[in-house]
Amino acid sequence: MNTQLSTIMYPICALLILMIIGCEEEFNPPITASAEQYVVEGYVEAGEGANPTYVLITRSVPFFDELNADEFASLFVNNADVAVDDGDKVVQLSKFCLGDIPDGPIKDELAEQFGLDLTTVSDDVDICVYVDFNNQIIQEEGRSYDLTIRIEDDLLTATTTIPKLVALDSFMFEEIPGVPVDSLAQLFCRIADPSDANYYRYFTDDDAGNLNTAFSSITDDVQFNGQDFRFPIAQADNDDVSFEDYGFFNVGDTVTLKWCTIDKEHYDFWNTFEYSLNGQGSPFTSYTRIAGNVDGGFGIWGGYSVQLEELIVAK
Amino acid sequence: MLKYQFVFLLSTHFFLLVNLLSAQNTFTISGYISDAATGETLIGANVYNTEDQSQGATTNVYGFYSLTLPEGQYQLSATYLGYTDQLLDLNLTEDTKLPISLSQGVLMTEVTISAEEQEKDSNVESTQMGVVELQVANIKKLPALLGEVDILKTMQLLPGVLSSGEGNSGFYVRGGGPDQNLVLLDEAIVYNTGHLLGFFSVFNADVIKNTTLIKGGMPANYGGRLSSVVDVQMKEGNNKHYEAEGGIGLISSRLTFEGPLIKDKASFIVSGRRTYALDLAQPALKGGNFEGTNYYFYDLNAKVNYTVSDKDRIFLSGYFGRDVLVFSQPNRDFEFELPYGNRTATLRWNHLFNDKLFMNLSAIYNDYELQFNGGQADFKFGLLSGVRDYNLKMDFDYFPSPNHTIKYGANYTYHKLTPNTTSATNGETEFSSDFLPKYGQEVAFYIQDDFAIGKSLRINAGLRYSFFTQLGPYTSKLDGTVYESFDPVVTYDGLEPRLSMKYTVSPESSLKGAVTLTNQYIHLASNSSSTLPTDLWVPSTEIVAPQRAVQYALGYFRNFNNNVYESSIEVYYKDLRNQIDYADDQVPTLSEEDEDQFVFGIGRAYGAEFFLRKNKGDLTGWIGYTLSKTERSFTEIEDGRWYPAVYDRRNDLSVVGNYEISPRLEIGGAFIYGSGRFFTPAESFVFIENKLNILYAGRNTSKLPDYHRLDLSLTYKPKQKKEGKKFVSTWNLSIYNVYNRKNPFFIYYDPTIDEGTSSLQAYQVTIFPIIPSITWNFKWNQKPKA
Repeated sequence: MNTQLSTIMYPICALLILMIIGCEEEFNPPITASAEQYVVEGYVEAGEGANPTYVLITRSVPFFDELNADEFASLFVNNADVAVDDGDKVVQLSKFCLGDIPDGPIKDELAEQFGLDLTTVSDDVDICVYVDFNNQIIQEEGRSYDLTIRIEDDLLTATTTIPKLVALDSFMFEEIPGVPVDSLAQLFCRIADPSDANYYRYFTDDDAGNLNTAFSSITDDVQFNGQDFRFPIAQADNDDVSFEDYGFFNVGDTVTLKWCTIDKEHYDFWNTFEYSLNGQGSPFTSYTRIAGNVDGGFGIWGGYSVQLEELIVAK
Repeated sequence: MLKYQFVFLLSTHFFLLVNLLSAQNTFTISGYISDAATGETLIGANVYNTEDQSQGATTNVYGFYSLTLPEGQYQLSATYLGYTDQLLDLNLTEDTKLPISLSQGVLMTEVTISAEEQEKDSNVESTQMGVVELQVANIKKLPALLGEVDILKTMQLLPGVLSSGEGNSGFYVRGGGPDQNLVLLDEAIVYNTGHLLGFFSVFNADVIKNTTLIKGGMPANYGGRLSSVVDVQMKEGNNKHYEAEGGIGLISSRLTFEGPLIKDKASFIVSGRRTYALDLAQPALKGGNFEGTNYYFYDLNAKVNYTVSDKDRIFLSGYFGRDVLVFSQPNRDFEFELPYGNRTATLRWNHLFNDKLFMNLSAIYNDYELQFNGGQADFKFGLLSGVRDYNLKMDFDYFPSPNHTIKYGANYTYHKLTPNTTSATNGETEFSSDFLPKYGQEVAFYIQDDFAIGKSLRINAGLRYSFFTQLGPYTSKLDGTVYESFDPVVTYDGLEPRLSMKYTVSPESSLKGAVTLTNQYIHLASNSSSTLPTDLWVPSTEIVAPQRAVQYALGYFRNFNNNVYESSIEVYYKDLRNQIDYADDQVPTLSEEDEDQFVFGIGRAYGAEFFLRKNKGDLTGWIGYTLSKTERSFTEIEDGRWYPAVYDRRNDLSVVGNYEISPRLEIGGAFIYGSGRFFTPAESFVFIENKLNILYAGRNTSKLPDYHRLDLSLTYKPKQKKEGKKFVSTWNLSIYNVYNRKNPFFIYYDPTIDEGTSSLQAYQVTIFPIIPSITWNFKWNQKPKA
């Protein structure tokens, strides 16, 4: 949804590749020494259906390493001391590990969310997340949240805000453009965008039923600032995405749409994150350094103002 | 500022007065030097006294020369590379108009110069350094990618000039960025020199007369760019008889037609070129999901000239070129069109006030525009960006004596620079970006004298004063001041002294040195590894200061074997200020103006260039080698760490040759070797939202493998039944990358999360393996040489 000029160039590149005889082969660049960094992924949410505040801490992986499931699981930092200051009080987050959950479908589903197949992970490796189980943190719009993480002698800090929610007004499923396909529909939403600067991110169910993001999940409102605006929403990427039906929904499905308002720093993180991710393989983009907001490490501590909708895909 | 202008004008007039007074009791020989067969004037031809070669003159870009000598008997020699020298005996007793026609070929006329006499040669004689002239006839004999002859790619084979990428016509000169090259087509600025993302240049070689590259010691009559000048002159058109020229290649065809409108007084030339590779694919696309998808580019060049009188000539020339990409997916009601290209128009009036004072007045229009129009169903999106100039230019060439050639003039340019302005509708709501075009005026005055001190020392001293004013309408981002149309917002100015000198060591060798200050008021930054048509030109504003540079150069120039061989060694150091780039975390966006995304820094470049060229004989060509280093430092990029610029190639070697096996068969070759390009490598990877992404090491801290390739060409001229046929054709076979070297065009990383394992693998993409091509060229001449 984010309009990036470079996206104009992608079709040109595709044509170019068609026109010329290109070939590719594995390339092993000179080894670059890298310092391990702590990687933070933490969110604080407000609104109907908001998740409890949680923080995941991992380590960066040197470029030349190939990780098996055990090594992947061992990236998770399980000995951190994590606290969030909501402006009124400081709340210590509790460590919650997969090992604490009895084996079963819930554990498997949680592991899948972390990208893990538990059958490939040995029992002595555990994955932990730091969670505000008791909802002690005041999760509300307009509030600022300071995150403090101590891992042995290392200190990581970050600040985020939960901006005021700018909700979607209405939702419409329509025929897909061009030649109709009975089984597919396109989702349109309407928003009354306020006149100040706003930043948005959204998630939908993917094919597996998990909330996920599409090719580009963020936008600012520069192009439609202060307007009542109707726009399409793409379904989250799935494994067999094709150019023909990208972003369309299957008629008859029930899909969850999570619409979020975020602050500028949070937007900058995902903007650079997705540009870096999507730019891979294009000869015309340079590298992009991801704009994290965590001092002392890398990652995102982000606030979401959440609107959660369940929609039945119909035409 | 007014004070500067006053001093400048005063010094100009004083200079001229002194020279007028000192030029008494002499007579002036003047005129145009032209090609005997076509009437095309010859740029850079020499006329000199064979008894004293220091008494000589060189034709200017309009083919005019003026040589003032004391009364007496002279033997003059007129020379031009690739043409038969002409000797003229003259008893000079009055001012004399002496038009000279030279014939192509290297046969001597009835008078033969003795072996002891050296021909005058600009490599050793000229005060200028870092200047290379390229003749199209020679360029056409060299191998070309897909058979498309390209003057800019040939230029990249010269020392100090680097290609911006595999197969790309973009170029970097002595550590300067791609925007620091002033590319002129008949004096009009060409802002985007590339077709098809830069793989082909916009210059159709059939219509080009002369190309001059100035990479150091930029004379004062050029300005507005820091690093180089590429001055391309279009042919004027045969003023004696009609001629047609063309060719059919793998991806494009071209046709040029020229001839007299009034014999010997007025002529025209018109030329077109168009690609058709994807046009041919249209039947295959018909009925499919991408029916209507196409890409093509075309160029149109046209020029007319009229000799009004002995003293006045008028030229009107123009260029129009477009790349057009149409992407269509009818089954999803999705379509967009992306046309972009340049337009130029130049109207020139040459006037001779007297035999010594030549004036050219030019009115020039040029623009570059990129559009995007498209959408899906009821969503329509449009984008427009570009740059447009209106330019008025007055240049004087004054030839008071053989010891002085004075140039002075003034230049006014009104710029309109349109950022990415967007508009869209989704059927019910219309919206558009708030970004407005920016305006500016650029003014320059200059004077320079190329003069001799004694027999050995010659100096070219010039001074250019330039200023740039950002004009309204504009609303200040600093204090909110609202400026109306033509209100000055901010003004920058600068004196740009230019000094070159030559010390003659012997008739075959000289030492040269140059110091050049340059200012640049409009800029282009690119966050990609090469330039793209979407890159934006932006003016100096209250936020963006002008780029400035000082270049110091020293050189030793030596000719051998009566100028059959030219050689030079040049060293340079360039100090660059107010350089522009994007921050590491910049994402191209339509939400923010480019100038608000820039970071500013400094740069330095230094190197040594070695050049050996053979101009005459069956075997011609050159060897060029450059050893150089180019660095940049930006406070906001890794706290100012000096890093190698993307323009940094430590070693660069080109060996270029053409051998005439027989009058009907020539073989050409080019071998290129260059150090690998710097790039920013991945350092580590991270997992966020279950996606694997990359953290990068320091900017440009790693190098791609070295680049090398060999190209070959064979030009065959079928046997003619009789000489002097009107229609002549040639076949050109080119093989690009003969030994199929897999040079990296770019590398990318593929993050994978497979069952149980995660990894990041780098891949190298090669786009031009061995590519043979064949082109059929023809020439029709109404009155061919017998």
